[in-house]
Amino acid sequence: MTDALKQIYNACDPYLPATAEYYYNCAEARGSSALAQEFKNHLRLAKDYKFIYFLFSGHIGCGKSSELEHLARALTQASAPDACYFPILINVSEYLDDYDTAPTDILLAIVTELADTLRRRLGFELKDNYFVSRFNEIKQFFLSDVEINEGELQLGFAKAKVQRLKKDPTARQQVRAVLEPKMSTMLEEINTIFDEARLAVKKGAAGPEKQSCADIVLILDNLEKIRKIGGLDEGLTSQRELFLERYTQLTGMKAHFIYTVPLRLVRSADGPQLEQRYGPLFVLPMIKVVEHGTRQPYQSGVASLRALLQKRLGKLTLDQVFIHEALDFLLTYSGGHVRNLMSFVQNACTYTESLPIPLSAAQKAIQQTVRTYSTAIPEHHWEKLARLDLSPDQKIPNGDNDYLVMLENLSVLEYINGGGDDPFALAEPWYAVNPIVRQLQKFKAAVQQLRDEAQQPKAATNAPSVEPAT
Amino acid sequence: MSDNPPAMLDPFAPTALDEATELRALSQALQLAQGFKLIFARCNQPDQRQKLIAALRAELPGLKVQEIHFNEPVPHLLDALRERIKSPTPDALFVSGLEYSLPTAAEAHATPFVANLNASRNSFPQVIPCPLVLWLPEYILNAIMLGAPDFFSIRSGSYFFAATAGDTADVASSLVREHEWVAASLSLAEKESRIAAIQSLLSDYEALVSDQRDPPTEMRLHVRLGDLFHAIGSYSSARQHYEQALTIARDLKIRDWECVAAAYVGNIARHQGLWAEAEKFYKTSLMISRDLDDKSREGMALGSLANLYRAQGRLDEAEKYYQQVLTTFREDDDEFNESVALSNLGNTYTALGRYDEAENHLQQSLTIDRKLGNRDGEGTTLNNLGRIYRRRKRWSEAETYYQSSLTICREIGAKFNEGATLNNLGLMYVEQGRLEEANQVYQQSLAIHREIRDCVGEATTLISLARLYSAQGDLAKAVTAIRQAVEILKETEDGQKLITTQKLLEDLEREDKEQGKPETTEQ
Repeated sequence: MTDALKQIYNACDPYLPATAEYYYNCAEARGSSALAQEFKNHLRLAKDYKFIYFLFSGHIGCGKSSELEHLARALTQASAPDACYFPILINVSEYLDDYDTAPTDILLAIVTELADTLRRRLGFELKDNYFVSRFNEIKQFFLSDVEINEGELQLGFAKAKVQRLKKDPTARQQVRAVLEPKMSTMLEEINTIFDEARLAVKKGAAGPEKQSCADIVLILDNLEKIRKIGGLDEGLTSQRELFLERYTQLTGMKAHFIYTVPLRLVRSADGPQLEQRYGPLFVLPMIKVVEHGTRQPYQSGVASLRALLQKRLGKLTLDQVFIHEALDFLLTYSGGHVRNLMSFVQNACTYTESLPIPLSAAQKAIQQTVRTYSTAIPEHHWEKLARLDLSPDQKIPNGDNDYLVMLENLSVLEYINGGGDDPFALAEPWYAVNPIVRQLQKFKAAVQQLRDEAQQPKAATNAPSVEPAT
Repeated sequence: MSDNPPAMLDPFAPTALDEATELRALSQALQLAQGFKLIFARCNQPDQRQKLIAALRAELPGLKVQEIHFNEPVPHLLDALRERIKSPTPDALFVSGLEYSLPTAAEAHATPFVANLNASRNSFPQVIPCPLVLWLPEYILNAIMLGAPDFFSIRSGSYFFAATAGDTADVASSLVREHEWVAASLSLAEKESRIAAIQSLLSDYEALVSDQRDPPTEMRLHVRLGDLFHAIGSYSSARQHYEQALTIARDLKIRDWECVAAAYVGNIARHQGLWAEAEKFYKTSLMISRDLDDKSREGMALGSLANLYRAQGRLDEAEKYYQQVLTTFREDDDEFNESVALSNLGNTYTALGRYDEAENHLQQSLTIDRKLGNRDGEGTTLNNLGRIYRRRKRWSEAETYYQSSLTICREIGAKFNEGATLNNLGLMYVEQGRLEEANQVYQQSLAIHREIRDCVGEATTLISLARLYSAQGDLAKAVTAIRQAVEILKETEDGQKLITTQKLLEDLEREDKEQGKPETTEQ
């Protein structure tokens, strides 16, 4: 076992979003313009000082957080005609309990992270009276006596303390009891904070970054992970409530926002309403590795995955790390899903003693997923998977909950850029059964059965011996 | 990149790699990993798990491993680990015993435990700065994939360890359906240690000063003790605990618990052969469920009555009740219990010789089990299907069903059912005249019953063996086996079986085809 194996294993961590060092722009292969470019275009074209509420979605592990981090870096760079912006990237998972969230929790997270970012990056102290009072009203619920005696809680230093609420349901309830009656006032007042922050970033020259920015952009990552809000049913019901029923709260804040929304909601019957109520919706597709319809390799997609992987390998080349067939095999069966690919490479590292990684190790790596999918996919999904695979247009029926579940567990993957030269079809999503699932015995049997059913009338006429008595 | 995978091994066959290869890979992962990595080790058998962990430790002597084994349910894994992880941090953290948090496969993916895994996935690296290996049975891994897809997607590997033949394994994945808590397939030692632990906990509760007492908790502990004693065949102790739970429920006026506890007492009475008493308790349970307008519990009570009538040979009444149960669960949209009712109804038809109806119902049950991913139910129903064909003397079909059932039992570690199915397979071999093969599977069955201390199962197989010996003309051996069975049954106070067995002892020479013949699981 070599140090190189160790390096690769740890560089391909499915857990961490790509850093600047690892980020590779796969826009072309994904079949969409890059998130950062798309968002900047909208910023530039926004009319009458309107704020943008931009929705961002995609599969689990398809690279959303990496794209958002990349967007945040891109926003800070002015390049004509785009001005420079000041991004505040809020990982709401650091604040919220996915299974017990209230709208006031989200507001608290926004204010806290904003104040913290301004302090760290600009040395600017956000001192909004209204929120300072609110924080001092609720601090007794999550601060120790010693901390309370230290005096007023400053917004810019509250982050670690407010995050305690995530772990403390009792304190959370107490905080909500105080704040919820004031919700509409808070929604008004938070806009003053944005104004204060906006001023600070425009004057930004005082801070270490010595750069004046046009405006702030708030990016709420992992908001799509919220499963339960305000005592409602878990899952789609809660997500509808947060993103649709309460959309005026999310679109009432006066700043540019990017919200991550669950793919399941986007592809549900309610999906079209989202765009009407917010604004642009950007779904990050898989990196296309096979062509729609023909299933021939899509060279540009394969090349992107190779380049993306190369970024993780440091000085080693792909040829040094993988036998050619082994790499092909991993790329094909990743389905263009980045986190899967990372996970597969890690697994393959554990089945070889030395580099380059042989085909047998790649196959054993994939087998881990084969075994789970073989037993975990619910029985009634197989027929639907087969149906999708055999359907000529590769679309999923609108609002069929089973397909939404399959999107969530990655047995079905979403792609775009399938339409050849037709500009309308170009932007249409299409769906493919996960390439690993396509190879499973149960899937093949389900496909065969559908084919047999389709052919049955013909068979009956060819077999007079089974003619029914009249 | 073609549509077909390259030759060599078929990487898409869901077979497990050999243990040595998987173990070497897992060991390598632990050496390569720096910082938090999530690794699943799928292993259905606690014994095997312990051996594998010992092997890993031996291979990696420099690796500081902390092992955490839960023997209680934990609602929130990360919080539980936060409290337990040692400082300084170990090089790897092995966690097992999640079966207690997710006792049944059905709906496991929709539990708070699995939901919490998904919700807290981002916080694991802060709490656990080293590789985390979760040792879990297949049904929990599947529940995580379905119910916590985000958590599942950050895995650095999932290593599969298939059960090895000849392992003296004990497994917590298969649960007796009447009970939420007792893992019927736990080893005797594990059952006994659970009993000791819960008894000591209960006495701590009982020692509290009166205004601190917590009767609802005491009641739950009594039920769990009842379940465990039931599982080792100590019926009188089981009954004592269930009755105390019933008393507490009545004192507290918690009607739904009263309803359940009455049914549990009834179950024990049924096993003790005290049929009139059992009927009385079941009817109490039924009455309460109707007062509460609780369809699900009404279905359970009706099902219990039906089980009782079937045991008494009152098959027409049993059929009528099972039909009602079926309707109830269908109206309630409870597919899990619908399948149980279908399976029981099927068995009743088998007993009535109405094989076509029996097969029809069992096939429906099988379809539901497969749809729900209820492997335990699937194994049981396959065994029951085997019985129909055995009775029709369609040997090869029967054998296929029995073997499929055995495969599933072994896969999920359902020792309890495995023992019973082996016994049934033996019965078929005897009918076919394959006496030596019968002897072999009976011996296997006996070993399993003894290993998990399924006394009633052991007695059943001893009876089967006695029949075999008598068929071979060795009456002395047959009598010895039957006497052992009678002794065991006296100890377990399974009055119902004791009576039939004593009668069998008297009638030993007479070939009595069906009487006393075992059925797999009383559902």
